[in-house]
Amino acid sequence: MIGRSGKAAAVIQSVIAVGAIGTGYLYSGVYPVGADVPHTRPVLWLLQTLRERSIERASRDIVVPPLDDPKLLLSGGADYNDMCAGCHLKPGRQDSDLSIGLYPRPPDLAARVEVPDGRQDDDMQTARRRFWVIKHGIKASGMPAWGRTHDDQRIWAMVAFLRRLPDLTPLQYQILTTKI
Amino acid sequence: MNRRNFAVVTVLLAMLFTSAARAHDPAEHAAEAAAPDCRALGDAVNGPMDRNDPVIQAMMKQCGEAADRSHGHDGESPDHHAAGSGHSSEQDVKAQ
Repeated sequence: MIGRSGKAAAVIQSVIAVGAIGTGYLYSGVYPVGADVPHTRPVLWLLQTLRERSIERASRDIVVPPLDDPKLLLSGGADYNDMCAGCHLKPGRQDSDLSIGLYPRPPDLAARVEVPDGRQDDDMQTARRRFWVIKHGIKASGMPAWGRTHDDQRIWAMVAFLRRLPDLTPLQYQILTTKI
Repeated sequence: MNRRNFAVVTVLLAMLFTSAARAHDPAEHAAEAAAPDCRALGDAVNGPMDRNDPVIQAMMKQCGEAADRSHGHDGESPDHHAAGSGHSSEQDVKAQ
């Protein structure tokens, strides 16, 4: 029969043991950090959950402005083509050296994603999320914080362009993104 | 004399490097003139077209300005690529 103090000691010993094993693993250098080797499932889950929860919390109070102005599409289109298309692709392009080589792989923002129900709500949340990600970037993912060099208005213009990007043909894309 | 030449070279190099800091200024984009391929707009005009669609409106605006430029009516600078410079109608977007 183990007493209460015995249980507490066992718990403390377990915590110390797990901590020691974790620290040993951390410093051993065994974990592969190359971008050509995927994360293990637990690490991937941990990082994805951390990322998604953090973005959701940080972006939930962002007020989305009207995004239907054609001027926004032209401004955002030119910036998207300059800053984003290399990784996030464009109509008619399935991959690029960057989209293949980066890990995690950048999402194909020109691809159509089916949204089931509650489209309007999803649109707003997606807009908030995209604005936040473009502005602040994501650590250790290759996504820069464009907010350091671009004001909110230009970022919203990119968000506006992203909403219509999956609907564009390659020719429409060329027109909207050409700088004249 | 050598010191003066060194100073001149240093200033020129500094100007060269600092110019890169404006790489994302919308005004820089205007210098890289290119022509939009407006065949898609022609196709849209010939087919069913929703003139209230912001994409169609943006394409018409873009192609209209390109046509004006090609005809030499480019006295005014385009404002749509300067949306971030604080001169457009979306100026009231608040900082998040």
